[in-house]
Amino acid sequence: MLRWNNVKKRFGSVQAVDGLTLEIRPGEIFGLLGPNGAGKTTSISMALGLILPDSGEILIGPPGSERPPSDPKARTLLGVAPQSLALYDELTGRENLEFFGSLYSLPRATLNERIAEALNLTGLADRAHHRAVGYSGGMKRRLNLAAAILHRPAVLFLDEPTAGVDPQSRHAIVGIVEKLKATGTTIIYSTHYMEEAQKMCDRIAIIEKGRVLALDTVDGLIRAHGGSSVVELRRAGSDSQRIVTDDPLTVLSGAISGGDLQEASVLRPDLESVFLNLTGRNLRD
Amino acid sequence: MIIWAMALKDLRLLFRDRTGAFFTFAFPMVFSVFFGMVFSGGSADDRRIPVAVVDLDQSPGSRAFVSDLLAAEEFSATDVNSELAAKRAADAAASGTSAAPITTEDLVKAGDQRVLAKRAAAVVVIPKDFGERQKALFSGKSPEIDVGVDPSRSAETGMLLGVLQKYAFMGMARSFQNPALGRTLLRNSRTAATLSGTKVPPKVEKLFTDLESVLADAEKSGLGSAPDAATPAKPGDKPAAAAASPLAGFSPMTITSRQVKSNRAGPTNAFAVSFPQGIVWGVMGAALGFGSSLVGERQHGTLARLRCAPLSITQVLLGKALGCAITTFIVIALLLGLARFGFGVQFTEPVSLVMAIISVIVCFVGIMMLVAAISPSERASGGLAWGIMMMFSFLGGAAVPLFVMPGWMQRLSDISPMKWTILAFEGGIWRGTAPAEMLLPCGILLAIGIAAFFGGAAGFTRKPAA
Repeated sequence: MLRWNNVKKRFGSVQAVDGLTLEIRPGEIFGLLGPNGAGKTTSISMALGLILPDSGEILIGPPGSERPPSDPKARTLLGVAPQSLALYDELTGRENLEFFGSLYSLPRATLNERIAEALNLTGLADRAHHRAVGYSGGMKRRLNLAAAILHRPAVLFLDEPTAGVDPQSRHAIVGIVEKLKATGTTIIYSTHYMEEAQKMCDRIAIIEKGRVLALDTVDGLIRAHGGSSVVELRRAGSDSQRIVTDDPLTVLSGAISGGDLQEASVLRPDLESVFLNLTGRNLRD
Repeated sequence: MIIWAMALKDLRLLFRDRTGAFFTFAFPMVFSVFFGMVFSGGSADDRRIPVAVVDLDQSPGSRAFVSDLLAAEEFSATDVNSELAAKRAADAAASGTSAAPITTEDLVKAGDQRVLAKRAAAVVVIPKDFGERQKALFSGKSPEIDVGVDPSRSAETGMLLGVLQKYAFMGMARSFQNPALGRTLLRNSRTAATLSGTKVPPKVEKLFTDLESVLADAEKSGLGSAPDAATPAKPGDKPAAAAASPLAGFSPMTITSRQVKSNRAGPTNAFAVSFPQGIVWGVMGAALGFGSSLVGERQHGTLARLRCAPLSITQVLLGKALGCAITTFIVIALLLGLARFGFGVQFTEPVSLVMAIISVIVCFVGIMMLVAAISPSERASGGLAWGIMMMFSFLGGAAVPLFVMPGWMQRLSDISPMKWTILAFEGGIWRGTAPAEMLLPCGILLAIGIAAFFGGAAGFTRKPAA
């Protein structure tokens, strides 16, 4: 559906993307994880046709009819909800959608139908005739997302779709993304929230310095790069004990059979530990 | 379709931005009207219409009518006969010669001159047979007056003519308050009608008979000893007799109006000068507003989003250009409409005016693109671009008319597109510039517009979308 083939991009002395090769499969939610300056935004911008790669190629579309992003037909397959809200504050929610929808030359009746669908999906139908300037941060994020899906893109880029919103709105946005996945939309999801990525993404690529450090399913990444689990035990009359193990269940059952166990906990590796093990730092550093 | 959607979105945004809409549409109007009034010496606070009155008849009836007008609360009237006589006498005294006789032409010219000099909104000329016709009011030959109106004050013409009719009715009412005078009027009217062979309709014949009977009774009973015809009516007197007349639609006076315009090639009035200047401010506001909004699209990330859609950067820029062109056209149309219908500005060369409109739109759409290219941010476009444009505006005569500038400054103003904008509009509005002669200012405006558009577009697209 979308491929980066050995793509390189340099800005002055900085090699922003260094031989990136990725293939996104149809219908999956693909997570892009990486610290600031890792090359995520440049990679996405090249896929959207906003900047040209120095070398390599990016192709969009089903096998046999793939096109570069500079081709307007390829761009009809793409939708984007950028991190910085790209909305017109003085237009109403509906007028924003009418405008962005009209860029895809949808027939009037179809556009109206899609606008109604998008407003319902994002829970904005009752505020559709209010100007966007009066929307809360979460509502603006949802409107931003609604504007991206009017033309039913095959590939949807969501760049930090839950950044800066309250937990309730975040929950709503995650729900919308799951509904979109159910319709078969391929989603490329860039986020700083590990738990969100871990919960939603089918596969995740961890990017650092313009290169893919690891690419797999969440379980696969944890297995390969998450390291061991840590079992913490506290017995009566003694200090707590930390046991690093690849088999926490065996350790735990042994501790229970030994008696006098007062407290036990298991810390399983997660994406955060995957990221730490791969890059030597936390994602938010 | 996409370009139209882009333009429509920008127009919506413009009209939602009250400050922007004010400076684009309302400010140029305020500017034009204010400076037009300043230059024409008018004042919105003075509700009385300044009129000049020329009496060529000098009959008791005409003198009574002049007196009515001089005393009228609606007018600030000047007796041109007296004024000219006093001037001639003063001139004669100064030169030690006898005063030159005053001819009919002298009086009419003096009256018109007062209008041309903007010292009167209109001149009321009472012709020589006014008194005679007044005596035979019902014979079918009612008295006539000629009103010369300043075209720039056409809005007041309707009121002026209405007030003149009111005083004509008052004069007629006064005649019937004096039974002897009223009977003379009726007798004369009947005689005049008989001599001219006019067939008097039966209804009017009956009216004559009834009126004579009423007036005869009034004379016998000693009622209605009204002041004589030369006594002026009091201001505010109501034409009650006329209003109760059975001859509905009857007018005691025929008023013909004409426009008093100068034959020299110059503006018909001060508004013909101030409105082209106002147009410059309006189109400049539109260009800067759209230029700034294009910079804002880049700054706020919407440009990047537009470029992710299946449309080219050329379509984005053409959409913005179309929005700017429509706004510029609306600004020009509103200002020209106000000038024409609100302030009586005459357009001497309509074809040249159309050429001016088209070339100015092209020019300022180009300037819009240049503003977008040179402004690193929205804020900068509000400062840097306005500063440059203001300098060009003052240099180009958008604040102070070019003809009052010193020669060197007029030559320097050639570099300002605002100068050519004003010249182009003045050419169509009052200079009477033929279409062939418009090729210079319009050609320069088109060249500036095209160069600025392509230069600006190249500069703008070189910058990253976000």
